[in-house]
Amino acid sequence: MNDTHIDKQPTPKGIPNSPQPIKWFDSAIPSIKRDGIDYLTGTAPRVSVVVMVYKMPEQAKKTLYSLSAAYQRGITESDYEVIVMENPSSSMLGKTDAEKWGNNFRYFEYPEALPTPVNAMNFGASQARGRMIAVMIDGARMVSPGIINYIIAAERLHSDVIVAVPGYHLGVKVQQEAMLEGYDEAFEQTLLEKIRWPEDGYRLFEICCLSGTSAGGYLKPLGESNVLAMPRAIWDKLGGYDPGFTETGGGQCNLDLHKRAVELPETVLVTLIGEGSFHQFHGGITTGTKGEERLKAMQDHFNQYAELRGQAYTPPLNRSIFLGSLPDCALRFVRHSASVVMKNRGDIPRDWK
Amino acid sequence: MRNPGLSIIVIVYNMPRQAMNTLLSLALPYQKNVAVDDYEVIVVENCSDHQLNAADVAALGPQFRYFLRDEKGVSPAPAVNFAFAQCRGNQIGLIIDGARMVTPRVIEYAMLGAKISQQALVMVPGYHLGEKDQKFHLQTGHSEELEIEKLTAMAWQDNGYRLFKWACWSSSNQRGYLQPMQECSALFCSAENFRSIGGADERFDQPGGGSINLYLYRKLGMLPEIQLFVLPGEGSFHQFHGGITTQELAEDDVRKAVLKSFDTRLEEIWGAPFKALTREPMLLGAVTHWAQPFLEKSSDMASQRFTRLKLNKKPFWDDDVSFPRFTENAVSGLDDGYQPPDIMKRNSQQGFNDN
Repeated sequence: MNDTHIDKQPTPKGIPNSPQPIKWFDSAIPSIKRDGIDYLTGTAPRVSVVVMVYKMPEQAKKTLYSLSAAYQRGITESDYEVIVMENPSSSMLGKTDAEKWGNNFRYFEYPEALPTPVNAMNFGASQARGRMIAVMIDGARMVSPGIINYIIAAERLHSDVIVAVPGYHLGVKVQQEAMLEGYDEAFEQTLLEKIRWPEDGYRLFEICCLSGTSAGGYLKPLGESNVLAMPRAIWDKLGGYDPGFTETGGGQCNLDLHKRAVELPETVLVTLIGEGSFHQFHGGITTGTKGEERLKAMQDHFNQYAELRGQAYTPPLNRSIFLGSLPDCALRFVRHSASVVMKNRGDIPRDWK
Repeated sequence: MRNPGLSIIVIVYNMPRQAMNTLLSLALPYQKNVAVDDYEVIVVENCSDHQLNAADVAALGPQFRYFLRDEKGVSPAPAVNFAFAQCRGNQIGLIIDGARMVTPRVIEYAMLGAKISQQALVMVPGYHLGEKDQKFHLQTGHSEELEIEKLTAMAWQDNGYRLFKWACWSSSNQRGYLQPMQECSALFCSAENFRSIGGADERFDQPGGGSINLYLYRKLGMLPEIQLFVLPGEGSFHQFHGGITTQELAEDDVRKAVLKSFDTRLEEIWGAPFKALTREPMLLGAVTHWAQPFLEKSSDMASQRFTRLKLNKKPFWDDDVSFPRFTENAVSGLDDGYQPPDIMKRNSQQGFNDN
């Protein structure tokens, strides 16, 4: 990394329509209603993952590999399918590189005039054959090896389950800040080599930090999930992503979908605490642009959300059920999550002797 | 009326007040998100001078079935087997020490575990009420009177999670629930699995069953297909009742001798040196803010253990090694003959050869 010093410009607070502080820690525990669905019948894939790719072929390859049966544990190709969506750009991934990761990969190039992925994502979901639809709106996010397995497990818990996965950024600090200190794709590659990725995908937890929307840890409500899975019926009920999000990268469409899904009265939120999605550095809208340009983009995103929903975004307050085992290197995030909420609450630390 | 899916066995002996709290904690509306016909509670009491009032138990609801029996021995093992014979559910719960009250979503989550896998072994971490393990009650001033006072003050029946506020780890899992635990004082498994290990081994004929809880937990946990679940937001809380291992005997030697005899019997029956079940747990359930300090501490202590094992190049979950299964920590640093897969072989400054 080079040593050029540039003033840090973290996400601004207090600008119009930016996310508001919330009171969160007494939110109610979800109740799981009984249902009698037999989840295990049928031969269609149980999960359809829809991934959006735009102008980041190198990152997308790693993401797609992390979704392949060679990397995902405890499942086979027939358990799930991956639908790769790509909007036209100067730097395309293409069908060959999108489908070579397994027989369960399908690729669609989606003609799109606007800078938003929402239409492509909705189209991808309409092609899905699985009972669960998992959307990944940022193809630069590679995942840990238990995602598919746990989505299938979570599906058995309840017929209207929403599965969220905490989001991380590769590197010791969020990339919009790290890039100002020289973080780039080459440095990220050395990080991945240090953990010998993809030998043990859980080691990604060794080289990452929490994303901005998950920064308070997962004992607080998450602002969004970059792997968001829900049953097809819920997806249809929500109408998928709102096509009104026409801003770059879809603006806050993913936060919006997360909130609308979690706040439906019939749904139960399950968070996979031992899994993660890990953002690779690329020239993304909110993570890879600098200064004024980034501020402007963020402001546009906030404004569009406020325009569509009548107020600034606030995370859904529903408390989540946790599911999953904890890899050793992910424990620091559990500690962080717990200490944040304890500190926020003003809990006096216990004497543990 | 349909058969309940879950039958919870509670064994009671000579502690009516504590047992009544335990049963209340298994009743409605204290237990959340379950219906009266989802489960049944099989209460088996061995005769003593201080017994439950059968009418009080019946008043808790139609899902409670109470049996009073004569027991010549001093062990609850025969009572467990008697209770098991009464169970109608496909899944059973086992609370051998009737002095252990539970938090409000134990039943719900135990049943969720069974939904994910029929081979679910659901374990509820054990705590003691009070500042310190109750076996030190003479030093800490813990007493039944104090406990009654505290329980009343916190109105635990309104919100069972408040029990966490006045609790500490049980000594059998004093390093938290993210590493191996000795025993489980509230566990759930399929009736078939319980039958397959032969129920409660009646050779555990010592007071309180001796180490039968340790035996059952490991025996069930070593079934090849078992999926171990731990409920991080729930707990089973031991109330003070002058039980076998939780009373502080005046002469420490006496206590040690008792424990020693338990260990000896355990190893005799196990047939080999006994150690805690070392399989990777899957966490399930919400964690209320009452339980979060214990989650934080558990992850802290588990980190230390993982670091130590990594340094010593030892596997994290010994008992998983013999079963081919998916675990988060399956890849350890044991074998260093790392061969990067083709996908990772670099052909340029960045990226990897992906042809």
